Amino acid sequence: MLEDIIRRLKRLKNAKKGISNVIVIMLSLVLIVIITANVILWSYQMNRFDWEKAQEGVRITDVERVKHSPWFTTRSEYRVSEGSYVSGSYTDTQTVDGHYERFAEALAAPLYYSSGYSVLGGTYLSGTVPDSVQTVDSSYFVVRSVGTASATIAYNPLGYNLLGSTTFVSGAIGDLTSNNGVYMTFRSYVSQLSSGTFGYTTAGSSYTTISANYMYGSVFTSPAYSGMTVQSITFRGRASFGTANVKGVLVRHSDLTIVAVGNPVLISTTLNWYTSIFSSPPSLSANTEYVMMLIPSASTRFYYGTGAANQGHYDTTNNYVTPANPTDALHNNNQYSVYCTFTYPSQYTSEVEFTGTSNTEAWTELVWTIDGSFTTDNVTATFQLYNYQTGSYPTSGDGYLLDIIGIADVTKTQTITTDPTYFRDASGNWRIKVTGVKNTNTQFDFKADRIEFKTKYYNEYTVSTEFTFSNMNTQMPTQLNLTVVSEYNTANVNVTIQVWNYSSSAYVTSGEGYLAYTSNGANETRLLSININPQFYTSNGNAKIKITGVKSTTSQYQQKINQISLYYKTANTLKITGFCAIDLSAYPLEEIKSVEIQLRYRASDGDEKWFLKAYNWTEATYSDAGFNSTTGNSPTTGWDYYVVNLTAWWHRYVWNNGTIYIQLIDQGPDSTATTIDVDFLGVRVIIDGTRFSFKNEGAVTSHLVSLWINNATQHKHYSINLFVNSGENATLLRWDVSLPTGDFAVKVVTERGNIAIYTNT
Amino acid sequence: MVKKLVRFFSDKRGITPVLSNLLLMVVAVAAMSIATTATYVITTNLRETMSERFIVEDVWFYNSTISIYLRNTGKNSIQVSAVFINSTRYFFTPTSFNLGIGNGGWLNISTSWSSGNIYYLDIATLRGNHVGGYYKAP
Repeated sequence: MLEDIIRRLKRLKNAKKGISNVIVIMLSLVLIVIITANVILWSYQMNRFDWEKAQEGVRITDVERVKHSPWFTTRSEYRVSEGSYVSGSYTDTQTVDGHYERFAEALAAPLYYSSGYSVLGGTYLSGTVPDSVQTVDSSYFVVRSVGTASATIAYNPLGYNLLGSTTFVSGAIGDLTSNNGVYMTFRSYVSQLSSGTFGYTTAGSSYTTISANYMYGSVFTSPAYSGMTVQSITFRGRASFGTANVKGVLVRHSDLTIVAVGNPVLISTTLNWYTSIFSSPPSLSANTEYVMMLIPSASTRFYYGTGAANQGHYDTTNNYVTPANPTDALHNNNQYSVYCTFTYPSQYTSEVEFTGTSNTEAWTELVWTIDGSFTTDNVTATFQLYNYQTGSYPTSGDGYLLDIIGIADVTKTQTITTDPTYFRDASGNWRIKVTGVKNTNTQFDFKADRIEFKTKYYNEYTVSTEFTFSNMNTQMPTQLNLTVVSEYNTANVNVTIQVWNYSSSAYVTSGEGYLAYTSNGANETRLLSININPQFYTSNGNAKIKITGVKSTTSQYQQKINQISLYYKTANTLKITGFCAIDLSAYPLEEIKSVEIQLRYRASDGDEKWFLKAYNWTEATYSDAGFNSTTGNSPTTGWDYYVVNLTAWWHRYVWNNGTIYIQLIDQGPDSTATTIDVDFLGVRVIIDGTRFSFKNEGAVTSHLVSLWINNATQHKHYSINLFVNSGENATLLRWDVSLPTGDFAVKVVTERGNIAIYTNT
Repeated sequence: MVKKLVRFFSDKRGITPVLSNLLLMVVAVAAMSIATTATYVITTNLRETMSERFIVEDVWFYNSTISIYLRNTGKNSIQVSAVFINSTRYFFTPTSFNLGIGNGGWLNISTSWSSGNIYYLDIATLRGNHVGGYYKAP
């Protein structure tokens, strides 16, 4: 067998005839097979397509106009802003089924402590709010008082002290109390001398040889100064031989009597100026002729220049040891080189210190005043107030005044506000020194008319602190009870506690909200209860009180606040908030016409209305602006429906994610604690669309691609994209499809080309 | 080496069989190309014709117009070549009415119609397929 097969293959391998024909036939068969296979394949595909199309069985089961969405109810527990939760759950408010959540109006009396302060009068010392004012303990809020009223007391000198060589002239210390031209007068003294010469101070070229016991000289007129005293006589000469003693002699010309004789001066043969000094300087009259002469003990040359007629005087019968009046003197025309050196007063000073007493209070101001004058002009007057702190009279600044004063009265005053108590001692004594100085040859007097030492100090101290409350309940209060525990470190402080009235924008000065008492120096508890219009005393959760202490005293004291609390009582009210969310994927914002809120509730009494509000996202507050009903709903005490429509304002109340907050509130505070049972609270959107319901009764899934709304006047086509599984129902909600009025037909077309029709006749 | 090359090019024996074989090969390749191309053309037209499906979604009689909304439900694009109303060919707009796969569109025929009459509308494609049906004017 195997051999037979091998033999046949070898024969086939060796047979070469007809190969081309076979190849051509085979290629043709391949092409035919390809064509045939394709035709069969495509036929199979399209037959399958047609078969699937035949299997489709979509039916339109319903077409209805849609006016609103289902209710969207709260998805979390209600927030109770006012009132209280009683029972139930928010899930009980999602359907109208008699299951409810209960809330109740309730009284509330939260306790608040001061959260801020403002020191209106005084100085803050220590403490904080609210820590220091929460409990009655050793922690205080302390403020030191400040002076608010002053006493001024003026004092006048009670005595005086003469300083230097000042002398009292006239008047009495009591003359210094008023500025009335009645003076107390003090005389100045010479405080400075000057010197001068008169005579012939030029060295003459001629000389007269004077023998011993001869008295020679010339006459000269004295200066116009007053109070002059001659110190010496100086002459120009020399001894004729060896040495000689020479005495200067001052002779009054009018009667040629000797005024004074100077000490002898030893001269030599050297020509020079020699001085004979008066051991007791004589006074010199002003504008008076004096003969300045000298008498030697031995021959002396006395030099001279040309003088006036008879200016020269000489007496050849005198005696060196005991010079005598040269009444028999003869005359010549010589002006001998001789002159006197004299002194005279060139400055006068008056100094007087006035003393007095005063009080020892804590001065805030010191005013010292001096009114007076001098008997001459241009006196440099210095007024000084003794500084006991430095132990000296000031030379500048406070306590020092300087002026040039003449014969007219001048009032000098100074106000000292910095450390005025430095200018008194511990007993209240004070001193004022008045010094008048003038460079003059004439004595003068100081005339004091008025000297005053005026003190000013606080005789009333006040402390005032304002305490504020914030972030309190904003609900209208029915009663406010304030408690203030405080003390003052001194007794008899007149304390007032005042509550701010927001209605009158002022602190209460009488009646409720006002309390006045006198402190006893210990911790005291005071209560203020406000029952009449308590809402006037709060505003947006804020309130404030002022605690003021006033005492007539010259000493500071402290206000120590231990506790400030406020009971904020509110009335029977209820405010609950529910949180709903609209499904924007099903109900797009742009298709919403409005929003509707429905409440089903039961109130335990019908005394007041109930209101629905929603959170206005634009104005960030709860509001019912734009609602179709804002008058509220009066309950019947049974189950009541309350429905409000947000009209075109709905978009203000719906956030862009569909969130809407609904608030149920009562009409206001009342005396009845109403119980509210909420059976249902929800929102729904008002729309204008069409819902199409389909049922796929076929064996394959259908893809709906086309929708027709036809009537006699229009054929409207809408593209849709909806898959309906076999045996299932599906709905299509279209906001852009409005069903026509009257008869119409709805067609839906599948992707495979089947058409289902729904007619409305 | 040079000698061998000269001898190779001087040898004329066996040329005729080679040329004849080459010529025969060219003829065979050309024949097969023609056959393959013909097969492709034939099968493509056949496939496209077999794959065409379209339906009349809606017919709207209004004013002096009959509008037909066609949808291409087949596997190829279609082009409407003729519209017959009661076996009478009518012009339509748009004159070049093409529909891609899955697309639909209005085809408008300007003609008067009478309410209550029944019209047989037949739409033919360029590949020769057609869809027809009776429609009663409203």
